Amino acid sequence: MARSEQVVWVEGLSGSLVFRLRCGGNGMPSEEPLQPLIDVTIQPVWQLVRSIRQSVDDALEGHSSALRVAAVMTASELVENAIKYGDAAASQAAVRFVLGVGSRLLRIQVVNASTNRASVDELLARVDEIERSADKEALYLQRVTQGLSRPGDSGNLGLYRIAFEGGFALDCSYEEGTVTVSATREIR
Amino acid sequence: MTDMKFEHEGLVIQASRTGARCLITWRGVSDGRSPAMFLNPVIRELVEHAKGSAVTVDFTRLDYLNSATVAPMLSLVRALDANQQPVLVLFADIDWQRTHLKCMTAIARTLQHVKVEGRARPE
Repeated sequence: MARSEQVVWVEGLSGSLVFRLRCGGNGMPSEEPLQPLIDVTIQPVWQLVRSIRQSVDDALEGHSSALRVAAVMTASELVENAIKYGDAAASQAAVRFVLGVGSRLLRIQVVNASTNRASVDELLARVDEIERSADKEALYLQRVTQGLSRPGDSGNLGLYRIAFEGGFALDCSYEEGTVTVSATREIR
Repeated sequence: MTDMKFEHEGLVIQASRTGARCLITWRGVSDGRSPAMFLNPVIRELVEHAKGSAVTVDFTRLDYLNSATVAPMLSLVRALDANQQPVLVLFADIDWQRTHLKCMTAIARTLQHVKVEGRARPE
């Protein structure tokens, strides 16, 4: 399935949002309805990253510690990226953050505006590289080592960490100046 | 015994040196936008402070770090190694720190004086 076909619909149902995942290639079950536990739009202010982490941890109370820790880290890294690389000056500078949970899947989605095509292309390429890799640990270590030899180049290390440490499958799309990054993993 | 303490937005780094031993402890949270701006000068001071000692770098009390903190964290260990002193790096045996334990263990294979261990997280 082409990456552009891996889309998420946001549907209004009885006043609440249910978003359905249709995906392929990463072994995740398809068509699982996910109940949004968090759906917020925040200003791109760095101090709010901590609030997002706390909200995710609170929202996942009752789930395993491993899942909560992984989700908190993933949420934090994705929101950091959106603030760092999003368009702070754009008319739609806000960052939308959604945490959805179903019976088998947990999904974190971050949406932000960007007109920096080069930055977006790099993001798309990195997500593609990560998803094609069969060895996320080796890829992460390689990226860390590269970062050490090039100080100042964090190189979206957070994405590699999400895949390796968090065990999430990543997806990314770019349409009409809007970047959507999604991280999905099974609830085990 | 000589002590140093650095604090920044929830991250506390302490170093205490007693004779030929030096203990560097990180605790709290490192989630700044550019942690290297705070950490790089601190690392230079820590490396100077620990020169000539057997160093233990204890990360087990860290509660959270973002990916931008990884490079400065590793650069501290590499700088200590470059001073040709024994370095013991400790991570907690908990889910998120295992990633950094694995990463540091792999990098330590390319270093001469660094040993990495996982320990129970202190209460």
